[in-house]
Amino acid sequence: MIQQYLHAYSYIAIFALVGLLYVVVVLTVSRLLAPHRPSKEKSHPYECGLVPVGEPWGQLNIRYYVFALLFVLFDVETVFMYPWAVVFRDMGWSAFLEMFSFIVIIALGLIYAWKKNVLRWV
Amino acid sequence: MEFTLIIPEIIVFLTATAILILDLILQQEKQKKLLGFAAEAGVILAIAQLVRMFALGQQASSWGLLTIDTFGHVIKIILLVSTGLVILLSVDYFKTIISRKGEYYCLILFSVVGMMFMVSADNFISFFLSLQLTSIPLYILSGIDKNDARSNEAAYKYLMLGMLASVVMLYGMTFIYGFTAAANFEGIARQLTSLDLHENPILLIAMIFIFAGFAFKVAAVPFHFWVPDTYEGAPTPVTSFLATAPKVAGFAALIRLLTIAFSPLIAQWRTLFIILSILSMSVGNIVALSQTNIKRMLGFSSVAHVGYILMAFAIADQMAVSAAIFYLMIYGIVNIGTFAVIASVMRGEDHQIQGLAGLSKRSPLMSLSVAVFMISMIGIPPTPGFWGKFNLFASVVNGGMTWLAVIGIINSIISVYYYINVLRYVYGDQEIGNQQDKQARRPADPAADGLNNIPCLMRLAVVISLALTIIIATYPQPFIELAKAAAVALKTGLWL
Repeated sequence: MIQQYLHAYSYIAIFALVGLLYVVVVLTVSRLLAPHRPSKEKSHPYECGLVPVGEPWGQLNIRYYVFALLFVLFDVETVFMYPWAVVFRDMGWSAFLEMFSFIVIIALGLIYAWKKNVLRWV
Repeated sequence: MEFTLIIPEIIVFLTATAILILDLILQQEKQKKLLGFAAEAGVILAIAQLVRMFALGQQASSWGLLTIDTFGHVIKIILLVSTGLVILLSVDYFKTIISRKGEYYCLILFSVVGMMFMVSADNFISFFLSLQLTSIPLYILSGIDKNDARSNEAAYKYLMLGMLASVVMLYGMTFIYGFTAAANFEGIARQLTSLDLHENPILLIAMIFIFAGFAFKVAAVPFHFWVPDTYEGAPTPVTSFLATAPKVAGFAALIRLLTIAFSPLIAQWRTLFIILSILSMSVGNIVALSQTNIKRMLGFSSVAHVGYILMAFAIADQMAVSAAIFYLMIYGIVNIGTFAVIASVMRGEDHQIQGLAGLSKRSPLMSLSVAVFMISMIGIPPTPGFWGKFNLFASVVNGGMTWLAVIGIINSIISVYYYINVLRYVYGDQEIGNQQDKQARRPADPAADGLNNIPCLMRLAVVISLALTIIIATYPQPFIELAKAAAVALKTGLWL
């Protein structure tokens, strides 16, 4: 059993090895064949094709975390609602009640945050 | 789906949400005391419902991913009683410290809901979810005093190590699921009987991973490194909560997991728990000897108590498990009582043991309580600690491991030193600490100085713990019976 178990992992080991070799080979070949003529443009850090602005360690406003948190919250809510919508017709009232209480709980949290002025950008 | 079976959980949950709304409605700071009373009312209501369910004595029944049985009722009552005491203690303690009081009570209650579900969980999925519901509020609670750097440190350390422990545990669970294709405890047990451990050594590793997570949650050596810093840094009522409720819930969940899911592997996990227990007892007691901060000292002493309780898992028969449950009851009450005293007499200063010097002259009630609690932790008759240890050691001897009981007793003797040391300061002359110490411990906060103005709710928390301690000391029998009833109710093949 344990033999079989480890045997199954040998594929992963081989795959990892091949992947590693590929990187080494490609980098060496490129180093050997490609011409090396750096310019100011070329040695800029790559930022989605835009001209980089500011320092790489520039600080973000900490208040963005509220948006991140709320985004995750409502994102997850939507993820739950898709499968619920699919089986809603078959399950009837119990499904309705469960989703209702779920949304009420989330809404309570939102109301609390709202009233506590968490959402206000000052 | 019988919703009536989880009414206590629903009550606690609704109380928590009601407190959030109440917090929005109440504008004046003066009225915020109501939040604490609302939380207390919810907890008492839930206890009443649990007692009613216990008295009805229904058969164990399954509710989705949960098993509702007498074992669960008894543990939940212990949990809620300690939560009630912690809330009582918090009302006045946090009057000035934190600004968002609604969140504090809400987080405590959410955590308790998680613990209550954890006690009933009979499935890896429900167990892990409720474990997270328990832990996440606890991480926030230990950092609730946002302006105190040590409180922040406590929260951060607890969060980092706690998440690591959860992940390791989850990893172990996936292995078990991989082998057994079952997530519910009984299904796992059925599959495990047909698997040979010698051909599947990974099963053992998976089990160790799961136990490592548990050992972290209940703070057993070698997974105890978060204990001293978190206990010291967290506000005292939160420390008292951390030291009791999650441990009770963790042990209860561990009992259910071991006696049901892992019952076929008893020979293997017994050895593991012997090692964990000896390490926890010895390290906890020896390190506690040299502590000068009383919260750190109690942290290590709780590690030692965990070691004693883990002895019961090394035996794992019905008698040992009921002794462990009884010990948990006593441990919870005595520990909360001790922290209640610390919270009421040491507000606004660091928690050096010397700070207690001469307490007997200033407050006879508090010093009497400290004396009772400390003697109970040592286990000198006729305190409840004695009954707890007596039952525990007797069950270990009965299980044929006299040598383990001897190690436990040697450890109890070591612990005498640091518990009595506290009393030496409390009842001794004020001159024990040298002059410099006395200068240093002069409290900065004038409100904390006058011991005469200990808020009455804190006093009440101390008195209730003291009363419960004395009741168990004089009539231990009903409580022992309660623990026995809980152990008997477990649906396990181990005790026949």
